[in-house]
Amino acid sequence: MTRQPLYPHVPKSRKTEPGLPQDELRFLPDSPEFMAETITCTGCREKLDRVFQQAIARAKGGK
Amino acid sequence: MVITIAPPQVLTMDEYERDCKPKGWELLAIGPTATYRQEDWGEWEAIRDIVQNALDETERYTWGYDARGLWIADRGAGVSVRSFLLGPAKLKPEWARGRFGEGMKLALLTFLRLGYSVQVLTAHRELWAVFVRVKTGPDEYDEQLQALWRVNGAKIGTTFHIIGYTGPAYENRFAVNLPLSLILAETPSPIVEPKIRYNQLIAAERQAASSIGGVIYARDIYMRNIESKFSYNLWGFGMAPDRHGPKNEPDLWVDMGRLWSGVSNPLLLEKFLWMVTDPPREQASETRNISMDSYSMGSEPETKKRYIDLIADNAVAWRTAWGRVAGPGAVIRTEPRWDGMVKHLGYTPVSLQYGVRDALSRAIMTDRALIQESQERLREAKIVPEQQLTATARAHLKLARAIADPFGIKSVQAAVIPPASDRVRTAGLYDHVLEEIILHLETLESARRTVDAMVHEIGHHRAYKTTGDIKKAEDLQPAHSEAITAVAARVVEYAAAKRFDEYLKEAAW
Repeated sequence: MTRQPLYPHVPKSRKTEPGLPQDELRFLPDSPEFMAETITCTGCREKLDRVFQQAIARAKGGK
Repeated sequence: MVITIAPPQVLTMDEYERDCKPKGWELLAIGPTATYRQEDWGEWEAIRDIVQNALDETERYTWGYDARGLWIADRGAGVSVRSFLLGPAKLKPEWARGRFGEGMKLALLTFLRLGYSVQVLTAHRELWAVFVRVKTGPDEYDEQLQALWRVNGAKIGTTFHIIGYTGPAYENRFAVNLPLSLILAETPSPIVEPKIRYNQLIAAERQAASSIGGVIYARDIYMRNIESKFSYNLWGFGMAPDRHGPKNEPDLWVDMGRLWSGVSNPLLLEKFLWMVTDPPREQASETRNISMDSYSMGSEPETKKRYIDLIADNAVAWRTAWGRVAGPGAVIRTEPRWDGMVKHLGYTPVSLQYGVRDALSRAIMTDRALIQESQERLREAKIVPEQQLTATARAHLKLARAIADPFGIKSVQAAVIPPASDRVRTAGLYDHVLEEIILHLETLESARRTVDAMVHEIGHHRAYKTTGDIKKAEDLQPAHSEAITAVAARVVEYAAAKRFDEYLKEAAW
């Protein structure tokens, strides 16, 4: 006789409530303005811009 | 025939036998000596209790001055001689303004002690208050309050005449004398006998009954001054036996909460909110005292609804007032813990006094409700399959996944994400349960926005993994700020090392 699992596996999804404590948030949402602002605050804004623009140029130019 | 000349204020038994008894006057020993409660009863207390009895009898009274002094009258059934005995066996009912039935006797005593004779004309009886010298020892005498009475007087009603008294009648200390135009709002009190009584909100500015603003009337009768723009006539709390205050102080403020629960005028609610924000925009007695505790307020007798539900019924008015006081994007602050997220959602947390906070949450959005609503919206994010993306978005999604790869992110998805609130858009989010990053389609149309979003969201993940506490990984938390800086540095390093070049052939910066 095949034994059935006592607790069938339920796949995780955004639709199910994982039973978080009341003071915990599952989703941490961010606006585009806030994201840009936090990157600027790291001091890496210029470096990120430069290094990715160079990488794009390399990738597109096949260098 | 009514006698108009007052008997002597102090009478000996000999004088009584000689001058009064032959004219049909009988003597009733009321009881207290001339010094009884001398310290806490004055003219106000005496007039207060005479009027109180009149109001309990007929709900209204009249008063005025004539050549003999102040008179106070009602059109009730009259007062029995027995009622003048101190310490009657039967208390007045709970709903009455008076309770112990002793005030009238103490009023007579007080006026007599102050040098005023008091004549009472009541249905078919006439009565004078006098002190009678009674022998209390071999050479000791005391003055005891007694009443001379005989059958005579008015046919109905009762008139107290305070002979020689031309002092104040304290008319503004009785709510029944206020013009109706001063009554701003009414809510049924829990008192339903002999009829439903309404707690009343009164404009204090034009009333001038108090030197510090407003007053509290307890069942139509002045009880105390309060620092407020409002006065109150409240019915739903019990009075202490001396009537100087409530039996239980918090009950008074709960009853005030009942009144405000039923107010629906946004202009009044605006003034109320000025008093109960924390810190208050306007300090008042209500600020720290008023209570809208649901259990304590109970249900109002007319509709049987809980008082607290009246607040929800008036939600539109409360929200209008709240917007004017706290600003259009304000929510009730219940915990400092939510401040960051509330601001993140484009709102401002504003604190209220503890006594009203939970009740007003029935009508006004709280920080917690705002965030819960936001979380529910975000749960509805719709994942878009790769094949349905534009070529550019698809290329940027691959870049995003490449950036995420070294940081242990379990998946990166493209989606249509609902705005986190009605005041902000959502470019991306981190789901710490699935350890997943979701990027909005609009974000994925730009490589720069994609990189920004990934650095920011990986920052959440890294802070969460480092601290083991998602609360410390939220926006504006130090751990998140530090993580973003570290992630940005590593992403710069990887990009410089050509690690992402293969994903950038179709990128649009």
